[in-house]
Amino acid sequence: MNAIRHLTWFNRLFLVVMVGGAVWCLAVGIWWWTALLLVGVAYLAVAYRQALRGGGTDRSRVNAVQPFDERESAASTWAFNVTGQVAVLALMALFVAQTAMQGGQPDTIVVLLLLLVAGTWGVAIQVATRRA
Amino acid sequence: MDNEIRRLRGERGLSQAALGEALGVSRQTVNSLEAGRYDPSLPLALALGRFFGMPVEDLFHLPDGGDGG
Repeated sequence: MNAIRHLTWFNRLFLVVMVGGAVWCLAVGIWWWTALLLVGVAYLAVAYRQALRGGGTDRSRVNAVQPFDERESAASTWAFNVTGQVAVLALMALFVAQTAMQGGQPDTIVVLLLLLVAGTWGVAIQVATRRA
Repeated sequence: MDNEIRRLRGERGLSQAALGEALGVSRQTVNSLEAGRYDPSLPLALALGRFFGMPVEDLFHLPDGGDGG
């Protein structure tokens, strides 16, 4: 069996968002947010390094989205499944509430996020059923 | 699923960490396998069978009363 030894795509993208955010904040002069985000990146780097070496507990590795083996990968998938369902429900609730309270005009960002999540869900279902 | 992993590991004087390292899984996963909380994938089950030198069906068995059908 080959243990999972690479940085997951989720974490690669998460780091890009964090570092990109730090650079952006620096560019617009919000230096304290730059510092906070870079501290976060440093913390994550340590957590990822430990997880990639199989260190820490199974919970800490799943928490870092760096599962070490198939069982931790299944646990991570289950956790993301729950998180995804809550995210869809929360976003839909926000959309409905804004629609009702803002005269039928929810914020554009909420509509775009809802479309992104719905689109992702559709693609994910296609891929999942093809793989199964 | 019931299994013989704990007994076989003990007979060989291996720690859970050592068995996990040999199989490429974590110590916690070996613990879950032994406790019957986690059913392994087919590749991991086959790897376990190969490691202990026995067929998978001798390594894992359904709980008492299970007939598999």
